Amino acid sequence: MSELILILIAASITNNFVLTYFLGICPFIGVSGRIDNAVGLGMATTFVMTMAATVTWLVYHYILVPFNIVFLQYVTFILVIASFVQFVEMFIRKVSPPLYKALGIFLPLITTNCAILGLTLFMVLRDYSFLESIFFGLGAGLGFTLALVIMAGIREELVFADIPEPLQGTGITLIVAGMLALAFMGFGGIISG
Amino acid sequence: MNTLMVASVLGMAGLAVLFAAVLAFADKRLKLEEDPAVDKISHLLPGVNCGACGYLSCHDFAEHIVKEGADPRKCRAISNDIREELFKITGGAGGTVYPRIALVHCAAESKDKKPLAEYKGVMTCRAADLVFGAGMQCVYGCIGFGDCAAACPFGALTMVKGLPRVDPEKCTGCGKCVQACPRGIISIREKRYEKLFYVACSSHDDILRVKQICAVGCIGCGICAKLSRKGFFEVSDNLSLPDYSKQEDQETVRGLAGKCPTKVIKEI
Repeated sequence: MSELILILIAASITNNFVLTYFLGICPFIGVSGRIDNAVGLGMATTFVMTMAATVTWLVYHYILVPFNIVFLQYVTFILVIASFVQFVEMFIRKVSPPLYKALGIFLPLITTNCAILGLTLFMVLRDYSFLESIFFGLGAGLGFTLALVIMAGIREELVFADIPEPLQGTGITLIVAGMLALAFMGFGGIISG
Repeated sequence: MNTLMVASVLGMAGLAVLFAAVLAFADKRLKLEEDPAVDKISHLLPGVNCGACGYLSCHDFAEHIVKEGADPRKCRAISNDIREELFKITGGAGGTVYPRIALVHCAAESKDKKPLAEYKGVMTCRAADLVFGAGMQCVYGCIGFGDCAAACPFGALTMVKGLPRVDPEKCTGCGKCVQACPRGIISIREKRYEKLFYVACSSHDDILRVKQICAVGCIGCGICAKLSRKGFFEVSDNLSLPDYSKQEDQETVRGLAGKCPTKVIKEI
């Protein structure tokens, strides 16, 4: 059990996908304008990550490995991820049309969020068991949400700051992201995961 | 080699069919029933979500028009033609709606604003207004950081020489700028006649104070009120206020505007 918790914490904090691996920067910059949108996209991504980790593990170990077609893993993983994103899109559209509108293009773009493909590939590379994979996916999703929400919180305050003109918008956001990444390095020594 | 090919083709095809089936099932279960009229109306609305109609968004407004019979006239940002088309869809009665426009009740450009102190802080009107009258002598006038221009969803306001300038072509009278201005110097009025006459000053200071601090303010002398027999203008609390519904005689009002000693009665 402690092993699973360790994986969860490692994936969400010490090895945060956005702030230590720099994966999934596009939605990190694009949807971190407001906290409620950030929470929405974070939840959606967490769901896709967890489900993708679960299903890709099954597919990898019960289809790809036995039939000796591991070289197809990229295509298969993308297929799994795209399907789940499609599902999430339908679900959000039904449940919360305002959130659907607010997320806009970033919702289907979860498909191309490299953090998710990265997650599934890490999972294979590190040879996680089934349960470990689920916790890894969940942790990575929570970490992504955490980074997104922290960033949104900062950006909501950033509106009041007097920023030099050339740095306004994406420029200052990337600088803040760099500082956040530095801050997250502080967790670095806690767990070696 | 052959088995490998078969395995990969079958594996991928099998997975694809499986996911397709799941998605097809989900699509059935999560189907969104939407009235085609909502989509049509939503398309006709400007889509800037200004909120002047009192609903969350243009889409929300469209839904309320179809489902609860909300009045399409509540949208101030559409032209009369589009409004007619809306009425064609909903089947309601038309009727003229006068266009609305934002009026800026201050005429002091940057050079006219007498400073009280130097303001160095967050460059928004809202923040500046909290600090000793934004460093201006006049506590009623335009601060000039352009909160209103930033709030305008139609790009109808531009800051020119420290004053917002309203583009009558683009302004729809939605009222976003009225909320954005911390000093409340912008008002929304119906434009019934070709030109709308208004007093470009909000100062309630007395004549001595206004003369001291501003060359283009209303001094409340009352000339406009005395000369107009039909009550075009009325002065109260050191500020002249036009009766916007009584401007059908445009030439007379223009004549009165010319008599103003500080030329503060403007037309748009």
